[in-house]
Amino acid sequence: MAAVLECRGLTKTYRGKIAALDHVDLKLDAGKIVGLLGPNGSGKTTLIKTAVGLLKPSEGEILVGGLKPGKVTKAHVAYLPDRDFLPSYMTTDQLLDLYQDFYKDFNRSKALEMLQGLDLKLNQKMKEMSKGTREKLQLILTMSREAAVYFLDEPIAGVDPAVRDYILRTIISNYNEQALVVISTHLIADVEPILDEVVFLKNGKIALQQDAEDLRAETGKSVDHVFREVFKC
Amino acid sequence: MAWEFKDGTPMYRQIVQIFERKIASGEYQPEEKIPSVRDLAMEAGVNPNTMQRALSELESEGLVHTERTNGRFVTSEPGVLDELRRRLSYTCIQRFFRELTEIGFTRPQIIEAVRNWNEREGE
Amino acid sequence: MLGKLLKYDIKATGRILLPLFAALLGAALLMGFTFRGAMPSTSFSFYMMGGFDMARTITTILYTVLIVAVVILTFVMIIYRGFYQSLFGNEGYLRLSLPVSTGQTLMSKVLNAAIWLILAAFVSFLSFFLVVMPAVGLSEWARGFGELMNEVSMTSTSTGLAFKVMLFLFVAGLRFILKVFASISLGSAWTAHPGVGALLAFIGISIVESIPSHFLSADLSNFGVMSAASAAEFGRWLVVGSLVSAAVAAIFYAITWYMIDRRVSLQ
Repeated sequence: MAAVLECRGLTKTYRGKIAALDHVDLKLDAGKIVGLLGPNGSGKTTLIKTAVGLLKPSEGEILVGGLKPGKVTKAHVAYLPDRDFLPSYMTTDQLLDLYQDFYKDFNRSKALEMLQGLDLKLNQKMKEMSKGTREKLQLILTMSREAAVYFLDEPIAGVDPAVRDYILRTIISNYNEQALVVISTHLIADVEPILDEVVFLKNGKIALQQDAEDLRAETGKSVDHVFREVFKC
Repeated sequence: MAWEFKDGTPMYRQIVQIFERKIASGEYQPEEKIPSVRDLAMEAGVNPNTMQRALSELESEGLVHTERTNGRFVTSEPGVLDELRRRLSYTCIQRFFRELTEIGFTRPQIIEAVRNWNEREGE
Repeated sequence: MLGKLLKYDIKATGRILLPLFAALLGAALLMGFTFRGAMPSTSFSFYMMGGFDMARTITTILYTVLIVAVVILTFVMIIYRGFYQSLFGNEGYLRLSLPVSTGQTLMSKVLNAAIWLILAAFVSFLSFFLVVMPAVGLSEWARGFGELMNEVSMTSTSTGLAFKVMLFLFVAGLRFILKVFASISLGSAWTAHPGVGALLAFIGISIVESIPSHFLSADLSNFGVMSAASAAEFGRWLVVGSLVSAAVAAIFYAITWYMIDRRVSLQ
């Protein structure tokens, strides 16, 4: 099966600084939930932003579904950034409209179904919601897209354990065998159970790429444990 | 709440063990229908592929069987449950004996201690 | 897609402008009513007469403040809400990952600027006339308004001038806005201090703009001295000036497009 995400010698340098991504070679297949794991500043977010088309590579290339990131790939890539990115003055209803306007693969009824469990009114503005509710809403909007690739950048950082559970369950229940889900995080222990494959990113380079269960069987340790060893300060 | 997992054993193995317990204890009755992979994965908080692997393992152990269109069911085959209970009890007993020998008990002493404990604790 | 982008840009820009426009029109009417009592006759020519009393002063001040606000805030909102906030703030993560081309994104913002400039101009003119209306009554006002509309149309050569002036100002306004867009996007390349970068870019562009004036008779950046002898010549000068401004604006558009498409680096 062709790789849905492919990086060839992908490099990204910022002026005068060290490379955020250093000649990364990576292939990820569809139908998997992949953990992009590394400490802060290891290049996870840079990799995701390049795949989404927000950044351009300095060297090398990145291909999504065989294409360079652009208008076509963006229509099939669902991206959840690591920060509030939706206009805070918009209401839930307006946001649903927005997603429907721009994304053909947006499934509004699915979103409404997922929203039912939340305590919010459709005409409530984002800025009036609690942080946890905002995070859930952003996740629901992203997961309601029937995309080929999902990039979730630190989806569970900065929220309480109950919200974390909700987020992880939502990811599992929306798992589409045809899609690739990439989750970047530094909170390995929480995310570990839902991962098929793990990729360790250290100083902009791939330190490890392996099936999660194989890694656990081989080392007799949890991925979290292995991570701590690999990234020992 | 997601299920708790620990270090040392692959996750799918741990899931298999959890199911074995549930079946042995009767929480899952014979011929009871098991939820779908996705639902189970959600409940356990694990990747559906992992859950799938666990269920396949249970299938090969004969504890679970699939009816093509209807889904997965707990086995109702006569000797299987007894064999399961026996196997689980052996593992338990093995661990029990290992722990006590580690602190210096001999076999006869262990059996004696069990007898005493049983009498004191009553029925 | 462009239409949808435009819809959201217009909404974002208008959140403060629409209420402001309404307030301006309201203040104009109010001001008009305070002059009503002092009208000796109902024609335009006596309009400016009348003594000063409290109400007139207050509403005049209010109106003046609002009209200045409209002029300034239209530009500010077009640039801040309609451009900067949606591309360079957190919202940029949304806007720049939408399945649209950079050209579509940028064109939407330019059209948004054009629409709001025209709307602001229209509302301002309307407000001038609303000031007059309460004093002269609706039918007289409508007649005078109709006369003025004729003045502005292109049919009569000496007065097609008004239209040419408006066109020139419109293109100049768009050019200025695109200049700021280009400065902001150039400034963003300096990741440490994008604001300072934008300011430096703006100054740099201004310097480059003024260079041709040393070689040509027409100055790109300023009105220049009016050496035109007749209205017709002035009219021609306006049209040429509009074309030059449009060309320069197109250059700014290209710069902005390049910076956003190639170099965007969100922080």
